[in-house]
Amino acid sequence: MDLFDQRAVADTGAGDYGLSGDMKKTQYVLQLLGAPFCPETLKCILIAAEQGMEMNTGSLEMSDLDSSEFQQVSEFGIAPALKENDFFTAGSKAITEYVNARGLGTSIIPKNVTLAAEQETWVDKSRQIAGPAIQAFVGEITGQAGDTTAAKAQLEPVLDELNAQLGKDKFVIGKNYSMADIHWTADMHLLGLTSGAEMIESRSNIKNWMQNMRDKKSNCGQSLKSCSLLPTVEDIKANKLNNVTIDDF
Amino acid sequence: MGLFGFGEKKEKPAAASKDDKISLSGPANAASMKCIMTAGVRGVAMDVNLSGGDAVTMTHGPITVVGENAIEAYLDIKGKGMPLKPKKARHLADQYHWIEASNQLLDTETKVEQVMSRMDQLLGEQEFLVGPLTLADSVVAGSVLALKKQGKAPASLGNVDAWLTRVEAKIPDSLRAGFMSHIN
Repeated sequence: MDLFDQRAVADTGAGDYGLSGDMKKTQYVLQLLGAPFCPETLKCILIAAEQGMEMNTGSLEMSDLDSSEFQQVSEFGIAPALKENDFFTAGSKAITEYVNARGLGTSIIPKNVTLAAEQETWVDKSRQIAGPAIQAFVGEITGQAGDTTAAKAQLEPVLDELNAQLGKDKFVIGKNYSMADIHWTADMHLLGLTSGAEMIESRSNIKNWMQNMRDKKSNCGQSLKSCSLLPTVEDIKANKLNNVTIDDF
Repeated sequence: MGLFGFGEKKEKPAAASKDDKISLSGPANAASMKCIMTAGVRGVAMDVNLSGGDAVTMTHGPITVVGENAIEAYLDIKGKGMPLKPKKARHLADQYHWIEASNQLLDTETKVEQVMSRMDQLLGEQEFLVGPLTLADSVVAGSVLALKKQGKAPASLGNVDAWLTRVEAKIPDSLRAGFMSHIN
C-alpha cells in the first residue's frame, strides 16, 4: 500500500468509486498529498474544484519529503504529489496542468501567445516571490516563525504591481479567469489568515478581486465555490486538508 | 454597448508584427540556455546577447517577456507548426514534472545524479523524456548543457548524450551553429 492509499484514501465510502450507481462524470477520484500551509498544495485543490474533479487529500509533514515512502510516489521528493489510478505526478505546475486538461470545464489556459506568456509571468511571481515570502507569515500559525519584516519588504512591490494589474480588469491577466488567478488566490488566502492580511486590506483592487474569487462559482458550472475548500487557521494547525467533493452533476 | 456586447470594441493584447525581430538577453546561465534550446527546437530565429543582467529577457516588437517559463511558453506558441506542449493530460503532467525537476533540482545542483540517472534509464527505453518530443526536452536539455559546461554533470550517461544529440538535431541547420555557440 502506498502513501496515497494510507493518507488520501480514494474509497468514497460508498463502495468502489463509480459502483454506487450514481452517475459520476469522472472515472477515478484524484488523490493528493500536500500540506495546508503550502500554497502549491492549495493551488491543486482550487483547480480540481474549478474543473469539477473529485479529489481526496492527505497531509504530509516536512519530514515526509525525504522518506523512502514518499519517494516511492514522487521519485525526486517533489511535493505536492498526485495519483489518479495508476498514474503519478508531482509538483504544482504538473498537477494543475494535468487537472485542467482532465477536468470538465473549459481550459483556463489562454491560447493567445501574449496572454500565455503573461500568465506564466504572474505564475512565476506567485511561485518565486509571493509563495516563499508568505511562508514567513504562515509561520505565525505553524509555529515556525520567519522574518516577517524581510518578507513584507519582498511582498510589497509585487503586491503593488498586482493591485495595479487588477485595476485594469476583472482577472489577473485580463477578462478571463486563468492559472494566474488560481496561483494568486492560494497565496492571498494564506496571507489573509496572518498578520500580513493588512497588506491585502490596504490594496482595494486585490481585496475586491479576492472577494470575487471567494464568491465565484466553479469554472465547470457547478455550484461549488473553490475557495470554500481552502484551509482555515484551525485546519492549518491540525494539518488538515479538505477533499473536493462534487454533489451536483 | 449594443445587445450582448455587439458593437463593443474588443481590446486585443499587444502583438508583434511579422517584421519584428526577437531578441534574447540575460546572463549566461541555465535559464537562458533553456530559452535558446526552446527557440532552436521550435525553429524561431532570434538575436542572442548573454552579456549579463539579472534575468533572461525576450523582446519582440512591443512585447517584453521576462523569465524563462514565460519566454518558453511564448516561443513554443510562436514557433513553426504545432507547439511542443502536448494535448494529452498525462504527457502534459510528465512534461511539467520534468520541467519542475529541471528548475527545482538540476538548476540548483540538487540531486543531479539521481535525476540524470533516471533520465538515462528512461531514455534507454524511449526517444524523448515524455515519449513524444515535448517542451520538457528543450528545457531539460538546456539545464543539462549548462551543467556540462560547468563540468557538473555526471559522466558516462550514454543515453542522455544520445538524447542531447537528438534534441540538437531538431534545431534547423540554419540556426544550429549560431545557437549552440552560446551554449557550448
